Amino acid sequence: MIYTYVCGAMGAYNIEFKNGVYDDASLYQLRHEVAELFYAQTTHQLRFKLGYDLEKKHYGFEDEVERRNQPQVSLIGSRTGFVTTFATTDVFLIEAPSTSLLEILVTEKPALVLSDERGLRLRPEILRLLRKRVAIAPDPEAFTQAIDSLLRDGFVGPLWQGVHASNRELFEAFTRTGGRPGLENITAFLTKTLSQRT
Amino acid sequence: MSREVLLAFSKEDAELAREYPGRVFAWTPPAVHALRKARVDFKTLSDIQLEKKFWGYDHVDLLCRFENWCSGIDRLLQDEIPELKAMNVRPFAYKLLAMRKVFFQYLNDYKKLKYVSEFYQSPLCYRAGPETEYLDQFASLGEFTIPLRCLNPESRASLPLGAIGHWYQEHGFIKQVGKFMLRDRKVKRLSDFLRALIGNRLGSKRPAILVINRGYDSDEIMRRMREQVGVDTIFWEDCVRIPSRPLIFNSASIQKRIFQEMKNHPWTVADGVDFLPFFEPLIRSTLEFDVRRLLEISHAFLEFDRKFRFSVVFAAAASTEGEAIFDQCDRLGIPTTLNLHGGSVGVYRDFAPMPAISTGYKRAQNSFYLVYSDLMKSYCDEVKAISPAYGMENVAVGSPQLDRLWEQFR
Repeated sequence: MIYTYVCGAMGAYNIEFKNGVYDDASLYQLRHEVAELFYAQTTHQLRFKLGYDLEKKHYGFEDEVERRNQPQVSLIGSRTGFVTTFATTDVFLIEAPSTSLLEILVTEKPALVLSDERGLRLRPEILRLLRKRVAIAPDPEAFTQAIDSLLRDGFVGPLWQGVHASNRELFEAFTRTGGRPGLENITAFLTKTLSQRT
Repeated sequence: MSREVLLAFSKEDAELAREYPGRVFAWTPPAVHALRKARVDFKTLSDIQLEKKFWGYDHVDLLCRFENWCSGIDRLLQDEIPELKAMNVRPFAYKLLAMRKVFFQYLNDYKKLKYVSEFYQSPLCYRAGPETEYLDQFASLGEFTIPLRCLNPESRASLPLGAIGHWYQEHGFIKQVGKFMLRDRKVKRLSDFLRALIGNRLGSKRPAILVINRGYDSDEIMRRMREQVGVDTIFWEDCVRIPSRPLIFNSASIQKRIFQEMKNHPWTVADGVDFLPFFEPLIRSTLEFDVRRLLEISHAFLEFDRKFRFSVVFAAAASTEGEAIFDQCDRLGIPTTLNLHGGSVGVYRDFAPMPAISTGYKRAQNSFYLVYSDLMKSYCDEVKAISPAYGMENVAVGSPQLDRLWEQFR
């Protein structure tokens, strides 16, 4: 199976979200640990989807993945559109609830999301809908354990109970309004405002 | 054995850590990598943060305080520079979104220092270098109480700009002031621009929309507006820069006033520590560069509006330049719309949305923040109810970008 690990924002972009456990060093440590789980087996592949030109920072980890050049772990560069990875991904691993999470909701691919209340608190109505669609790991340790378990046993365990990859309730709730496409809504709204200059 | 905890920032720190007799804490990603490689035992923040409690901030509350700080400085600027007052130009408010990251960086790192110190119940030490320059700044604050020692103070950098200055140089300046650009993909748009200009000269009655910045399907939205509604779309980046009269003011004396009057403001104070000195480079740069530019932008916009008489001003994303233009729109009664993008607003409990800083808008009902859905709007409405900086009307319109994805994968 091919796993796509969606790396969260780092540096200046992460600052506003970097609450507690989500400092850059902790996220990097987590990526190292997840990579090691994949290096230790030969059946599954992991692709780190980078963003924000992370590879240009040369923090060390990305260079090492390139240097090791093993089939289990690879990188997808920042300049490659995230959406282009959808077709070839079997499972998404998401480091933090974000725009990428919203985007993968259009697929019917399973996803494991790290959502730690020490760093990011989700609104209750979002959490309720999210639980129906993705498995949620409440802390980094649970996240790596769940990945380890996925590699060994597949989609078993309490994190996956009640999760349906085809559930699109959250996506609907988050993006739809009145059933009309967004483009039409915006055009109609702008047209209405054309005459409002006072 | 040393009781001090070594804060590791770099590859060189990892080398030092090999021989270090005390405990080691990895502060940065390069340190994590290097320490792992050197097989040094270390911890990161997530290893030591065992309590299951929220560690973040109430962003809405923080933003309210920040907005109050920016407004205070802007009032002071308008007091000193009549040209700003005449046009209600508010440089610091326009830069709020860009600047808040700077403060979060300090607040986060300060909290992190405090947490690490408390967790280990030990003093902290670090090696001087480019990565730790801002720790030097922390340590130099008179009120600073966390035990923090530089291992090699003789090597401390004496740079004129602090970490804020570097960050600001990288991210904070306005990149351009509406340059006239003619690149391949813009030829089509240029023809729209010229057509609108010529049509305007010939007395065309077509309404015009000014597009401040692009992205998130804004090109498609504007194509529809042109083809289906018959409007002219003018892109701000195509507008020729109009130099305005030189602005003369005494930057040093204004800066002095800011530091006197904004001392101990709730925005820059955390845990009794006033971080205002850290903002000196940012305040200085804003005074030296941005005040003039933002006034110039405001003048240029008025000039273009006289030419095209815009019906609506549209922005695909919030920006410093856009905030300046939105303010002038409010003065002139031009409706403004700002598109939300991204999937964070409305998901988190503590993350404030980022509409234009519309404090004091006279016609806030004519200023619109276009959000994805009713679910998101409900959150934005909650924030609006308690934030003085949030005057824009929230309107749920969906997302063309996510609609496209939906069509592709359903």
